[in-house]
Amino acid sequence: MFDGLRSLTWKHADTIEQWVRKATRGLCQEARERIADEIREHYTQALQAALTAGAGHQEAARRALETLGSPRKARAGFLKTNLSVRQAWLLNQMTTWGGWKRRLYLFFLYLAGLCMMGPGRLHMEHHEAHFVFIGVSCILFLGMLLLASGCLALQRRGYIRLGISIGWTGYIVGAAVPLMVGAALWGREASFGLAWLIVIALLSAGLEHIAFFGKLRSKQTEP
Amino acid sequence: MNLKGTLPLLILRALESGPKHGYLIAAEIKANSKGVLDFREGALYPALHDRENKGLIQSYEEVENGRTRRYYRLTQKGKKALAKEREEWRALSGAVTMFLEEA
Repeated sequence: MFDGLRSLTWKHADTIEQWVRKATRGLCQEARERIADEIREHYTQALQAALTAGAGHQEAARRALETLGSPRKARAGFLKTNLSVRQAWLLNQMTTWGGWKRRLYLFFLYLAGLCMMGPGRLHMEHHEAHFVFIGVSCILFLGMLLLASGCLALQRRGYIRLGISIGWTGYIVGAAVPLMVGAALWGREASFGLAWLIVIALLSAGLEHIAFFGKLRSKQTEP
Repeated sequence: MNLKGTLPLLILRALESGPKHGYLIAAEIKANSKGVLDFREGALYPALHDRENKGLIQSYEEVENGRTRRYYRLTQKGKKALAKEREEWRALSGAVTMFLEEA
């Protein structure tokens, strides 16, 4: 427990802890810790001021807590100015996949997936539509990767929420549209490609544990 | 009196005289307005974080008497914003006063 409250009973401390918990619910770990430290420090000073003014412990604690106001209203404000757990996760994923080596890796996996989907019969049919589909999908996917780069730059300039929103919309549209079009074009056979893409996604999720990609990630997330 | 939307300007003004932590900022606003400008202090921190996100103020931690406090200071961008917002406020309040006195 923080220094300023050592002289208080557990009940008072529990009350400010409850306020902090309510006000920071749903925020990412970093924001939660920073806000909790600031609010506790603020409360401690308000408490000391009330004690110096002659109030008893109970009254001083009540006044100090009252000056903070509603934790729900404060939480609404904090959610507008700090990242939620989900936003922090999305940002972390964008940063993780922000390097060119990883992007190229992702692109080739995607390309391979499309070739499997549109079916691996390209060599047999040589249908023009397959080439057009794969070409357009690749352009869309590369555009999406470029868009994500732009969004990371936005995030570095302080437009974090905008960066996350546009970047992820790009990812979803860039990846989902070709898959949907492919599924519509090749029907049942597309399901083999989709299954293959799911395997790729699962393998990709495990990349964190591979030393090479782990090193890349730590480099990218350094300030 | 809680004038909605004025807290960001009051924060910049409070930091004009030097770096301060949250409690001091709240105390200075209340004291300098002789208690007229009152607000729930829980609302101060989201406003501080918003100004910081916009690059108008900067925060840093300092250990004082064994306790870590987060201080805020104005940036160059913040000084310019304060000058601009102050002018806008003067124009607005002058216009409202003029209108009220005429009516």
